[in-house]
Amino acid sequence: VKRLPVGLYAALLLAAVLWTFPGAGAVVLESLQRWQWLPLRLLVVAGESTSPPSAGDGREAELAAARARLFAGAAPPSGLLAGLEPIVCFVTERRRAVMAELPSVVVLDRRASELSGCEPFVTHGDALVGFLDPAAPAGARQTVRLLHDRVSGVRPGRVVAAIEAGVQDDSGHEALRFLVEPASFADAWPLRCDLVEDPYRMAREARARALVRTAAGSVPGFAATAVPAGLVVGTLRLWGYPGEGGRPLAVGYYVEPAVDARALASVAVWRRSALPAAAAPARDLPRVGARAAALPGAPGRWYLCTAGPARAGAAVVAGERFLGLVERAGATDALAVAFGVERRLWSLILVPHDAGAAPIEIAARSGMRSGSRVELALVGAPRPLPRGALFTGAHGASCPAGLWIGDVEGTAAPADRFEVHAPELPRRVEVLVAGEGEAE
Amino acid sequence: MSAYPHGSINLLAWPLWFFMALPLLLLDGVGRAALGPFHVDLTLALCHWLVRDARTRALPVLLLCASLARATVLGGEVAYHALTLGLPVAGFLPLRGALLRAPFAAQALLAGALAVALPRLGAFLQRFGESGAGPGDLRVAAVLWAAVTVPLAARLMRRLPPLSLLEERRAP
Repeated sequence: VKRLPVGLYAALLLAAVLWTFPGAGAVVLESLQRWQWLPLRLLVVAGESTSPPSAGDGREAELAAARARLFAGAAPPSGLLAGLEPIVCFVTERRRAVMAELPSVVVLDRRASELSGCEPFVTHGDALVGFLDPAAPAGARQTVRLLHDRVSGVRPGRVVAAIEAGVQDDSGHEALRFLVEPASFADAWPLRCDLVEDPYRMAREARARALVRTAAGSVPGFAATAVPAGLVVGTLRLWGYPGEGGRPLAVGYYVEPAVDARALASVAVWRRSALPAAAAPARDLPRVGARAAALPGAPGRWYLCTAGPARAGAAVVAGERFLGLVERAGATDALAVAFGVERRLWSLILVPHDAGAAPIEIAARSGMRSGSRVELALVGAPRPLPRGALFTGAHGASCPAGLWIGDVEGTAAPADRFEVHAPELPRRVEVLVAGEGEAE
Repeated sequence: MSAYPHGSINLLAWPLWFFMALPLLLLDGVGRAALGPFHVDLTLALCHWLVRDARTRALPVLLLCASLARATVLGGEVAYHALTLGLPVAGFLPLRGALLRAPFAAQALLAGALAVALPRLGAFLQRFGESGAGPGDLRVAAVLWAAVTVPLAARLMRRLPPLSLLEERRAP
């Protein structure tokens, strides 16, 4: 027993506990890690450069114009809801991932008190995405519960919706109504249809990928949140068995939301025109200067010597350009990872070079970085992408939407992969720092 | 008398290893970037040295410093890297007595086993968290290369401080 490596076994047991509960002991381990960076700090300070951070590669005017169109995707078509006025809000954070990394709650850049008196529903373009959380404290950032959010003990958001069925009567296509509510965690799609008004007609006439829109009226005995009719909820999906003639025998009806929550970067909140306008929040975060050095032998990983405290998850930028994210941060130094190095999910906004085209909010997973070339894989259905400027979507308080990443060449046909050219690391960079009030 | 009598450790060895672990693993990364799978894998050499030559009582601290450095170089949790490096070491440690007297072929066998075990274990643990060191290279040629070069690199490492200061003392 004396010769057993008891210390090693105890250390491995402790590592297993810390692996299971990542928060425990993190402070001690990260402090030790920062002490280990001391030789790197000496190297960075010795190789100090006085060159200023690069700006937008001489494209400031072009980028400013693209940034002005950045959140046009959330703006609804004019006259969508008569008597109501939209307030475009930016998503700062996503929470409560329930199925396949699909977040079900998003945090807006405005406080609940600023949005008091607004209608409960929230839209993106002409699509209904969720409801304002009435329980959000007045001083805190307003949260939005997306349509598929389901929490034990809290009544889920239900809306009356309908598809246009194939049978025609005197008034043309007749709508088939049902309730749309959050599906369970085990279901294939985030929303499911319940209490179908006419199950026989639904079974006979419902087609996969039919557009589902909100409908007027109510379902007796079931409380549904009142929303204006005509908003897009998503597309109908059928679950069942292969049937005759290629038509499936559906035993469950689901809805695939019109807007992918992983890509959502902006939404519109609605208010009565009589309410006073809310002041637009400041979106230019303070910056902390940093000297940067790429770690030799660790491609895409940088050591930053910062002029002030940074936060994990903060954006590393050079002038207008987004470079990467801080992974670990201390009072005067940080470890950062370049965009595209790690296989992670990104919320992105593609602003087409064509000034008439609307920006596209997409979710993509970075797959591989080779030099300055980053390959990204679209999450969700493949789609054609136009040439344009790629910006960050929402990635937390210290990495807001609207940071320029690079240019996308576009794809002619629906594709699930595309490339962006991201810059190499300059010697001097900046780290965005959310204020105390922002980092909630 | 025990074959491995414990004596006091030179106190300078601890801070030296604490600060040398990161440059060692960065050097490993430079080699990997330059030569691909046919570089001398210093991480495997370190594990080889830990199994065969390291002072048993020092193993927890040696592993901690290596895990801290590996988390800086590869990203991810320190605990993940501690398990990835530590479990194979703990698994092969009972063979130490035999390895000391064994010919080079047995050491090569240990290096080959480590070359397979480390990436496999890393990939397995990766399923339970976000951090990871990548799948590694499990081609036969790469494993054979590691089997030949890792024992030689480990032999060199045990002659250089700070690892030479943390080696198990053997009975004369």
